[in-house]
Amino acid sequence: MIKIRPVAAPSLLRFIKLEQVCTRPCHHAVAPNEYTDVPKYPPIVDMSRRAKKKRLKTAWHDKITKLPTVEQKLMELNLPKYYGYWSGHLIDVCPKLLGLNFIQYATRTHVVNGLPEEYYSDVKNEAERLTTAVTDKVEHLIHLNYNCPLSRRSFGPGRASERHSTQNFLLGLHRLMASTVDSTVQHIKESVVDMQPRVEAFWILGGLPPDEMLRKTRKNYEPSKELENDLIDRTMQGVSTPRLGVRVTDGLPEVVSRDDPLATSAFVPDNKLDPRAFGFWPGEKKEHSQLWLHSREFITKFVEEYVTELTYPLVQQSAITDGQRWNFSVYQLNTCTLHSDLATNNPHNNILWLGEEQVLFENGVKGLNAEVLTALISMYLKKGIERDNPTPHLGSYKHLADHPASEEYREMFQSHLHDLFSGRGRHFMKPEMYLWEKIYKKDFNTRFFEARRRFFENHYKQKDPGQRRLDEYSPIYIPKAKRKDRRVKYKPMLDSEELYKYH
Amino acid sequence: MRVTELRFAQNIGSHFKALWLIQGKKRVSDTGAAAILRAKGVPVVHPQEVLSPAYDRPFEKVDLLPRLEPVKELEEKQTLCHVFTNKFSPVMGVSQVQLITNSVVRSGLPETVLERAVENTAEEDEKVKEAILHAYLLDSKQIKLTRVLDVINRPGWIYKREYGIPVARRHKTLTYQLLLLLDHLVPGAAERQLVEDTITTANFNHSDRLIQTKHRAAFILSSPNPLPQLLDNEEVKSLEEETMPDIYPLSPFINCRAIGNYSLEDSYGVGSGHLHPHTIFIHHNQSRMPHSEEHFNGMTLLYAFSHAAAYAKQIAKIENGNLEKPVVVQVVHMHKQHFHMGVFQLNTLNLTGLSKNIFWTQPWEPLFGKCCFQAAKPVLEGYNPKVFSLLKGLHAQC
Repeated sequence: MIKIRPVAAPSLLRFIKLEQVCTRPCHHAVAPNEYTDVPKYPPIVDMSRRAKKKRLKTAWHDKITKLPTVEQKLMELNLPKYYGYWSGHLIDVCPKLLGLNFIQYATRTHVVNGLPEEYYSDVKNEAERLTTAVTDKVEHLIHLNYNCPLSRRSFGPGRASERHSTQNFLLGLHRLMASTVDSTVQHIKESVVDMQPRVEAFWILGGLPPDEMLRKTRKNYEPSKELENDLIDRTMQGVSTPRLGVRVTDGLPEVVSRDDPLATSAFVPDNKLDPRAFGFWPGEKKEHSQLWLHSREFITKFVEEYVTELTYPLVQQSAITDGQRWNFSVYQLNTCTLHSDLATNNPHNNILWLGEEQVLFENGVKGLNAEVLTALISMYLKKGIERDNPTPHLGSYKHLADHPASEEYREMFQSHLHDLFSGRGRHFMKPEMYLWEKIYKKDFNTRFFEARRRFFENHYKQKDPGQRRLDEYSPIYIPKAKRKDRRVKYKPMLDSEELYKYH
Repeated sequence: MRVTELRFAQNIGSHFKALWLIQGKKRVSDTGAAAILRAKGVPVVHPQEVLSPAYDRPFEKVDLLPRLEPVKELEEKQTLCHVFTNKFSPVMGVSQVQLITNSVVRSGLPETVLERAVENTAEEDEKVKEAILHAYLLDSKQIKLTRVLDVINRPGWIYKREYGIPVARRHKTLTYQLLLLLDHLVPGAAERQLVEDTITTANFNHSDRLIQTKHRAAFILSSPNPLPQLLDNEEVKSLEEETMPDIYPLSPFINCRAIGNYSLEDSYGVGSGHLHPHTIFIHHNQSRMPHSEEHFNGMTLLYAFSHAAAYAKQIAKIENGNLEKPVVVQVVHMHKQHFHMGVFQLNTLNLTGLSKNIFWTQPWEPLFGKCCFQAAKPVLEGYNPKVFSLLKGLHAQC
């Protein structure tokens, strides 16, 4: 640091004694001792393209992990894509031919035939006792729904009416179960029941082979020539609409601690949508009349942590039924980070215990199968356990409601997020290359004299619409009448950390 | 300057194409040559007997779309019938419906209900509030909602089109959750059965006209034991002296034109002889209610009557209109946060006779004032615990 006494005039310099000796001019703090005994080398960073890309990805994943609320994480996940992700859709009502292998790979699930007996051993006696109490009521319910003529809205031809009659049966059955089981357990009393909830899950699946177009692009671009056949990540969207969902506050205890691996082949899917995540679902009932049950099971909930690992396993019970035939299953989610090489090299994998198909009653209510009822009741009775740190990757304020930012910003952020998830398209669609442009500008350029202004033409302002981010938009103008400060002309821009930020 | 002729050149192309189409379909005209040749003894053969197509061109008829069954249109009948559906709105409100259903109205729910309508505990209130939040706000279903218009305060202003939970879904979720809560509070509720989305139709003769009620209920809660009679036979007899409201010059069928295409089929939602109606839940699923509270209350009475009567026609014994054992039915009519509850006793199906039916009701109660997100926080304001306690009172009847 240079300490010089301020001088009155340059000519008086030689008559003024400087108090401190001015050392050599240096512009930063001088270390007391520049040398250490052991050399401290900076980390050797792999400067290959592959490694650089991986570092960028990891940095993004870390950013998401560090965000304190669910909404912010969801927004950050969506930020890279203004026009949304081009995802593979796994919808529970649309079975894919020979898709079981792929779905198992996509969700990294190992299937075990038969329900885990020891898991329900503690509630088995209670369940059996309650079954005897509930049998004749269930018989009345079945009689009402399947034997009596009910005058109901007609839902047209096909499976719609079948689904609605099953829905009616399930509503009645849940009521019955809830009131029977109620005397013994507290969590059913406090549960929330959803009728046909919207359940969507989004995750990034790695280890998929690149498609032709990508390989050609890589081959033709010098820096990425060697990466031609590198496996890629694709985003997956799972959509499910169970008929009835029962939710409680505490998650179910794990069935087994993280277990053995599974991997199979993979193929490349299609389509696009925006993602959504959901909460805990200890017991669910779905409706089906087809027999590709396995695939259905895997469309489960993947919570906040898509790119961050789970710290404890999440368990979900479900039943697939059409009233008469029942299939119970228990799913344990051990991992939901399936991006990059974690799709195949993951130490953990998810497990599905799938029971056999059982029939509740034959035609005409004769022969009510009590085993089915016992299994169902034991699912209801299974209590959740309190985890001491249920959301380790969230801040103390878990939801946006408690975020320290101003009210106005919170409201704007939430409505923006809801708009994203509503599935409505952007106001202006993604720019497309018209066929005439492909022919006369791209493939056979006969219009070389025209100014290059389009997104696929090279010019100084060229922007790839696929790379447009959610926060790349012109700032929104505030009219003078609505301004709080005369000089603040624009609204702040979207930012995942501070919700809205002035740049 | 040379004046060019007007050419209408834009039509040349289409004119040319049209000519090709027309002249392409050559009609072979009879020149008379064949007749002359035959007359001269020269054999004349039709070209198609000699020539054959170069290759076989079979045309396969494929049904690409499944053939839909044609909608059975109801034939027009001679006698016209007044059909009262869910969309009917009584112009004169409760008075008009009284005349239609031959009922007397008491303001205030019956004693048996009010004494069981106990105050809610704090825990119950919390659960109801949670149920409301889940049904109205925290459901993630996003469907395009109907447009919001505020013609009075902001005429011409176009509101942003919202995506969210439709009204019908909100009602269903809330009602089901409330029923689950009520079941815990009342013993023996497990015996009752719930049926969703029913249609109930019943025909009656009113003065010289035919009327039909065709109503949809969101839920019908039925119980193995019928509800006890609220007014015993002497009190029912005393109702005969009560006067009915007069809506002259309007007729009781105002706002309901008689139509010719109807079908005379009676059906009650729950067709089991062992189950008797306990409570009917009706949801008014329009996002805007085009009428006022009076009309809404009138509809409640009509719904109660239609369900009680349809059930009675199926099960109960009727002697020249009067029921041997009156049928009691409770009804809860909902629209967004308004709950209108009533208890109806059906004494007679004779809608012009002396004997009268009776309906106990009270003005509608809002369940809450405002339920929305405020600064990303779910907020419920103006919660009214009275609604749940009245529901408890209704549910406890057996």
